[in-house]
Amino acid sequence: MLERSEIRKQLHQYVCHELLQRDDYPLRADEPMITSGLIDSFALARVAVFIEEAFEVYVPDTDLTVEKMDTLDLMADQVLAHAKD
Amino acid sequence: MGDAQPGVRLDLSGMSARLVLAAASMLLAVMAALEIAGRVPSIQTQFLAPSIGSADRHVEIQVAYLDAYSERHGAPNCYFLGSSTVLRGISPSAFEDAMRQGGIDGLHCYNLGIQGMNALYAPTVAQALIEYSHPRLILYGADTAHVDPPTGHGAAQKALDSPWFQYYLGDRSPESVAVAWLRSYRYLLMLNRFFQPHFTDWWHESEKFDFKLDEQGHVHSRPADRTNPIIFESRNDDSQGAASSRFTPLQSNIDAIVQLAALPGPQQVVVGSMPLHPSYFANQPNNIQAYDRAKEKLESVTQANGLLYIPEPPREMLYDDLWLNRLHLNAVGADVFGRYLGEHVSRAKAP
Amino acid sequence: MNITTLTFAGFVLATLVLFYLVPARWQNPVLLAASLFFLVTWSWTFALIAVILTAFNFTMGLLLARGGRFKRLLLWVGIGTNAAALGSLKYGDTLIQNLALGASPDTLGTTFLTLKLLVPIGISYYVLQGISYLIDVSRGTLEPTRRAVDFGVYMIYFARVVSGPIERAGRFLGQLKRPRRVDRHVVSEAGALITVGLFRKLVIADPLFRILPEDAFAHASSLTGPEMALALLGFVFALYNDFAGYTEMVRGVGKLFGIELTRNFAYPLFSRNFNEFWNRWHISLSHWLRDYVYYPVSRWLLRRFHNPRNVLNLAVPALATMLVSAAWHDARLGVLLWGGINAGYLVVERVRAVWWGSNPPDKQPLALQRAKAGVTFGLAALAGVPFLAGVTHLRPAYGSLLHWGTLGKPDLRILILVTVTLGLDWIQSRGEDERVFLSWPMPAKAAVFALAILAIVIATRADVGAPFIYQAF
Repeated sequence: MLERSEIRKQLHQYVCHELLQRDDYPLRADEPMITSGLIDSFALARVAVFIEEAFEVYVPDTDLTVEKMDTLDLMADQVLAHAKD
Repeated sequence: MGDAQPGVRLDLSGMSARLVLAAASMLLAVMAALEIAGRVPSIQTQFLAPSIGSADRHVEIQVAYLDAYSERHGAPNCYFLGSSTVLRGISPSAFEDAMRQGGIDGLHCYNLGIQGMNALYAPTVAQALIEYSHPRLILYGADTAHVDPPTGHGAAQKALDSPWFQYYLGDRSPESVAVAWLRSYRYLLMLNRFFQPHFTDWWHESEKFDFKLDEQGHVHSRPADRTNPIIFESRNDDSQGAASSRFTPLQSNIDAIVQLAALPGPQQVVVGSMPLHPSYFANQPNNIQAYDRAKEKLESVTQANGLLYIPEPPREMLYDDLWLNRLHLNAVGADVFGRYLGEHVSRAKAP
Repeated sequence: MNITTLTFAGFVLATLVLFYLVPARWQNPVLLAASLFFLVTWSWTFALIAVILTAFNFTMGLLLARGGRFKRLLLWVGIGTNAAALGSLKYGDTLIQNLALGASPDTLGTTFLTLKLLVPIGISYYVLQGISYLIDVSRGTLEPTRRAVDFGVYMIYFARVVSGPIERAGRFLGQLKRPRRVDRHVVSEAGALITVGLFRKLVIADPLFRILPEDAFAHASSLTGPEMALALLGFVFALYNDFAGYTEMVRGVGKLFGIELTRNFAYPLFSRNFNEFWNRWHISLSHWLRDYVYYPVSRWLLRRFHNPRNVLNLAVPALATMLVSAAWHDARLGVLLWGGINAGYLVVERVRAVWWGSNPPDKQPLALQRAKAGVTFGLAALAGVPFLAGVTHLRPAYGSLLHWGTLGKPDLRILILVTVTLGLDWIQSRGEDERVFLSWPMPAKAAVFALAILAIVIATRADVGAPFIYQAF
C-alpha cells in the first residue's frame, strides 16, 4: 500500500537530485514547479518513467499536465489515483 | 439516445447596456470633436486634406478645397471641368471678373479640372456636381484628351469610384452617406489609407505636381514659372509628342461631351477649346491639320446639340511667356484665358 | 463563410435564437445542423468528408471500447485511416508531384480525385481530434460516447472547425453532458473575446498582410538587412495576430453557446525559452503533440535507455514532435526545415537542463528575462524563414539579413502595428487573459471598447479581407 508521505519523499528526492540537480533545494510539497519554471513540462516524461519504475504506476500521457503535476502534492495524487487502476 | 440532455440555459437577468452606451457616447464625442475641427477653417487648415475614399489623392485634395470653398463662399454655382489643361489654364477669378463686366453677376466659379481626365468621364463628373450644388454654368474645356482614349492614369475613374462621388451619383449606402456628410469619417479614413499597401504612392501622387491649389481650385504655379521663358525647341524634349494617328477624334469622346447637354437641370453647358502651344505640332503639319479637323468636328457637333462652343483664342493673345509647357498655361496665362472665356460666355449671354 | 463577415454574424445570431428556443434535448442537434450547414457553405464535399470521418471515428470508438484481441490493430487502423485521409486530401498533389520528380499532374495521365479537390476545410484539425479520441478510448482514459450527435458536435462544431482549437474529447464532451448557464458575465466575456479577436485580425493582421511585400522573400537580395528583418518581423506578427485573433473570436462565439473552447495563445512573444514558447503558441496543437508524440516517444526511449543524457533521449522526442508538427502544417521542404530547426532549439534546451539542471526564468533578473525573450523571439523568427520563404529563397533571405550596412527604407507602419501588438499582449499578460479589460473601471473599459470598435470599422473600409492563414493548414 503506497503511503502519500513516502511517495512525496521519493518524488522530492528525484526532482531535486535528477531534475534540479540541487539536493539541498528547499522544495515544498505545494510549490509550483512547472508554472514557476523550476522544471519544464518536457521533464514530466522523466517523472512519469520514474513513477513507473518506483511505484509501478502508469500515469497516462494526457495526465502529465501542469494542472495535474505542478506540485509534489499533485504528483502524489496522480500516483495514488492511478495506483487503483 | 441515452440519458436526458441537460442543455444550456440563458439567463440575462441583470444585464445592462451601460458599457455599450458609455462607449457609444465616447465615440460620438470623438466624432463630434473631429467634425467641428473639420469644419472650422482655422483648425481645418492645420490638418491634412481628409480622404474621400478615392484611390487618387489629388482628387481628394480638390474635394477638400471644394468643401472649404463652399463653407467660405457658399457652394459654387459654376464649374470648370476637363483635364490638367483646364486645371492649370482657367482662372476662376478672371472668368468671374469678365462675366461681371459683361453684365452677368453672382457667379462663384470653381475649377475642378482633374489630372488626366478623359472626355468620357465628363458627363458623370458633371452629374455629380449638379447634384452637389445645382450650378448655373458648367464649362468643359476640350483639349487633346477629347480625341484620346482614356489614359492609364485613370484619375477620373478613381475619383468617380470614391464614396463621395458615388453619393452625389445617387448611392445611399452607409459608406457613401458617411463620406459625403461626415468630415470626421473622412479624417478617420485617412487612418485606413495609411495602412493600405500603396499608401506611399497614393500620398506622393499629389506631390508630383508642381503647383498648389487654393480654395477656388485655382492653381498657383511656382513663381519662377511666371518669368522663365519657355524654350520650345525640338519635339524630343518632352513626352507630349504626338503620332499622326493620335488626332483622329474618337466618336465616343465627342458623344460624351455632347451628353453634357442632356444632363438634368437648368444649367448652361459651354464647351471651350483649350489652347495648345504652336510648338506642340512643330514640324508635324499632318497633326496640325488633323487636330484642326478634330476641333471643327467637335464644334459642329456641339453646336448642333445646342451647346455654346468657344474656339481657341488667337495665337498672339497667348504669347510664349504665358505658357508653362507645350500643353499647359501658367498662372498668368490662366488669367488671360479665363478672361477670354468670360468675355465670350457673357457675350453669348449664358446663364 | 468567413468568420469576420456580417454574414457569419447573422448566422451565429440565427443559430443562437434557434438554440435557445428549442428544448434542451434539441440544442446539440441544432449545433450539429448549424455546423453541417456551415461546412456546406464552403463545399458539399467538405461536409461529406467531415461526416464520413466523424462517423468512422464514432464507430471505431465504440469498437475500441469493447477491447478484445484486435484492439491494438483496430487502433492502428483508426489512426492510419485518419492519417491517410489527411495525407491524401491535403498532401496528395504535393506527394504525387514529388514522386513524379516534378512532372505536372496533367502529364502523369492520372485521374486521381484528389488532384481535383481543394483541401477540405478544417480537416487537419478534426483529424487530430479523431486520433486523440481513439487513443484515449483505447487507453481506457475516456469512455466512448454513445451520443452520435454529441460526437458530431465535438468533431465539426462550426465555431472551431475552420482552424481549431484542437479540442480533447474528454473535456469537450464532458461539457456537453453538464448543465450550463450563459449569464451576463459569460456574455460580457464573450463580447470581450470577440472584440479583441476582431481587433487583432482586422486592425493588425490584415493591414500587416496588405502592407508586407508579397514577394519580400523572392526579392530578398534587393532588401537590406533592416528591411528584411522588418519584413520578417511583420510576417511573424501578422501570422500571430491572424491566428490569435481567430481563436479569440471563436472562443467568444463558443461561450455564447455555453461551450468553453481551449485557449490557444498565451502571449507567446514574451516567452523566455522554447519550452515556454511551445506552451504559449498554438497551445492546443503543442499539447496534442506533447501528449501523443513527445511523451510516448520520450517514455519509450527512457525505459530502454535510462540515461537522460543519452543522445537518443535528448534528440529523438523533440525531433519527432517537431517533424510531425511540420508535416501537419505542410509537406513542403521549407516547413520540414522549420520543424527541424525548432527541434534543434529544444534539444539545446534539453541538453542544458539535463547537464546543468533547471534554470527557472522567474528567478532571473528582469533584464535578463527580457533579453532572453528577445533572443527566443529572434530565433523563432529566424526559424520561420524557411516556413515563409520556402527553400528556394532561403539563401537570399538569410543572406540579406547579414547586410546591415544601410538602413534602407523601413516601413514605419509595420513598427506601429508591432508596437500595438506588444502593448495588447502586455495588457493581457497583466490579467488572466484576453478578458483582463473586463476588470477595468467602467470609463476605461468603455474607452477601450469604443476605440476597438472604431478601429475595426475604419480598418474594414479596405476592399478585401485576407483569409485566415491557419485555415490553409
